Amino acid sequence: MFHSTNSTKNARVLVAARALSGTALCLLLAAPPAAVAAGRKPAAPAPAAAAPAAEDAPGPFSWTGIYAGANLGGGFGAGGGRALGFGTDAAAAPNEFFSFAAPTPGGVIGGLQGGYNWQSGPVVLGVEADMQAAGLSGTSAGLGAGGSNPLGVAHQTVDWFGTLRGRVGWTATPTLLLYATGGLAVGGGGGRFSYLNGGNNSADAFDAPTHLGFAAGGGLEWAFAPEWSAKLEYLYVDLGRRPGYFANQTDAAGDPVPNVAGLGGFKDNFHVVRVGLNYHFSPSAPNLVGALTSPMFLADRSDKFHEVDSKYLFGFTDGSDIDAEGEKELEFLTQSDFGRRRRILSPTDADYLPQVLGRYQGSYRAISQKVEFEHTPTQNFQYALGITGTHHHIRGVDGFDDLDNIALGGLSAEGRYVILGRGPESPVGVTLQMEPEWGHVSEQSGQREHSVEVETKLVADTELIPNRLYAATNLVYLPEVSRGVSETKWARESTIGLTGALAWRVTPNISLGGDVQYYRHHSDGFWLNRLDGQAFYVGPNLHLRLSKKIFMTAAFATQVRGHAAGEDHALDLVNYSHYRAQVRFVVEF
Amino acid sequence: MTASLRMGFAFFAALAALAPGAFAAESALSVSIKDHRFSPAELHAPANTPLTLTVKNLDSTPEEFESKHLRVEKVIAGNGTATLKIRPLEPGKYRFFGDYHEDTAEGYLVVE
Repeated sequence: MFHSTNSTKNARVLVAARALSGTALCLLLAAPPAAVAAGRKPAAPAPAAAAPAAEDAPGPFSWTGIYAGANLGGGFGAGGGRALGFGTDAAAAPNEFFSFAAPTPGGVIGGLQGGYNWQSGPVVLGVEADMQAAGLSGTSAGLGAGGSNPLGVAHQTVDWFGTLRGRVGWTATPTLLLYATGGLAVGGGGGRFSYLNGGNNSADAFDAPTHLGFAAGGGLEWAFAPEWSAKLEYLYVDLGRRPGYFANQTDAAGDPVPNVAGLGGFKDNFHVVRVGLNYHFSPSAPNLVGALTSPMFLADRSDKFHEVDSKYLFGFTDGSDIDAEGEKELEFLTQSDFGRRRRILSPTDADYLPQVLGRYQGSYRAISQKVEFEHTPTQNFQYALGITGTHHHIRGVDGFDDLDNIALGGLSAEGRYVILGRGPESPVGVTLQMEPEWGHVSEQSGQREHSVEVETKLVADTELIPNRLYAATNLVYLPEVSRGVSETKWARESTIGLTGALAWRVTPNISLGGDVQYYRHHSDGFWLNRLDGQAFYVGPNLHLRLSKKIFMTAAFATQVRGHAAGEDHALDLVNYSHYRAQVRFVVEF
Repeated sequence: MTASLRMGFAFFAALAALAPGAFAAESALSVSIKDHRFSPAELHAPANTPLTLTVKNLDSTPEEFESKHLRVEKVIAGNGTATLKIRPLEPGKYRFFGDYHEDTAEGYLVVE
């Protein structure tokens, strides 16, 4: 890995010597570089005079190169504004006004980042991009004056954001980097304005905008091993001001009245504090060209990065590989769908106020646990038999009955046939898989039903960089017939979907990537008859090989775009959940 | 619904029947493992022909013969022998390895 020329090596030793003798801070923090050097090979002595003798010693740590990793942290509402609202009587000018502190969304964030650093002396310049799933939400409310004594409630979520930033850093010690960062930010989330007045008129308005803004902050990053660094970072993300919300009012019976209500003035800005882990692909490369062509990044390091089964390399997207002939596997797949829109109650309902003041989303959680036995009887065909248990927790969700339930979900049988084997035979692998499933409860509502569905997938994948960067796409077709236990009529539905995924093996046993998923749900037949809704999800995936025979994958996705037929809300939270997560654990034997 | 199911299974059965090279002659190959290395480390075989590969483990410790792209995997006891049937292959270089000693036990099947 450290195969720089002598001159660059010597230059780096000088850099290290300068940094090491530079400041009191670096003396205090001298332990990390020593630890790194010890982990790599004998260190070059610090004094510059020793540099010419250091030909066989590796160069000191350099930040130059490409890196990628993951992060986890929290977002905290910056808010700071006032939400201003009004109501009217008939078509007249506003006669009610309210003003209250804007929501300050907060919650957990997590995502992936990648970038490139270039080091010259103690200065490190870089560019970094990141993509975050975010679960920030906040609510605030205020009573107004005038008219019918209105109540205004604002709810705001930030569901995802990404940034593209420059970084300017200074190495306090060769392995400790202090940096400032700033650049563009893009993100989106949901917003809701609810209005209620003393005359029991109410109004609701929604949106899910995507905004462009900026991000700025700083942090410190410590290279604790030759190819690994950990960072602690603060970022202020400002996605600007939300547009206003306006809605027609309805009376207590739900009938429209000619009054309107509106709210505006809150912002999408928040503070982020996160920790991250980065893998450096080419810590000895002198520049970007060197990094891109270095063995660590590109070449097939055949001593480490061998072939890997792509079937479970991605998250929600399947890969085309099947196991070796005769191989058996047990798969434990936990899937969770959560986040639905809360039920809209009439102002005269007893729990209207607690609900309006409570949450934008109803409480919805559907978890399924599948155990599947897989066997590969031939070199082209694999089958699997599965049983699924489900847990549903539903409270106050639009279109669903409240439920707390654990049940047998269903039984399934899957066949996978390799049409084209990826590898020496073909650069692209293609597999057809069909999985008929008998269902015992509805996956969405958790209610008892009888159903049969056949999940059919055409799976294709390829290696964009052999043994390192993988891409896959799935075409999904899912016809289903179902009947509630108290019903006599069978309902026919179908779903079509297209997913895509990337996975980058950062080490032979760890890969990181992302999935995009697009689904359309149809009813009244098996052939995409009547469109009920559509949803687009984005999220990261992770694959870990724990041993030669045991591995796990994890993936998360946020619905960033969607629409349900007959609804004017952003996102389709009728047919699809807001978030999806899955964890898979596979044992081969 | 049952009609769809039947159609699905019939489709798989039809695909399985279409597997290429079903009528070609068989070709026999052999390789041995000694000191956790394959000998020879490179085998040659004709394309689109069913293959029979005999693997002799001359070490006293067991080894697992494995290849992701050939899609075979077989544990061979110390001083044991195993015979694997390999589907007709397209031309290419297929890597195989000993899963218990992957650092040294590595070889290629060159199909031409």
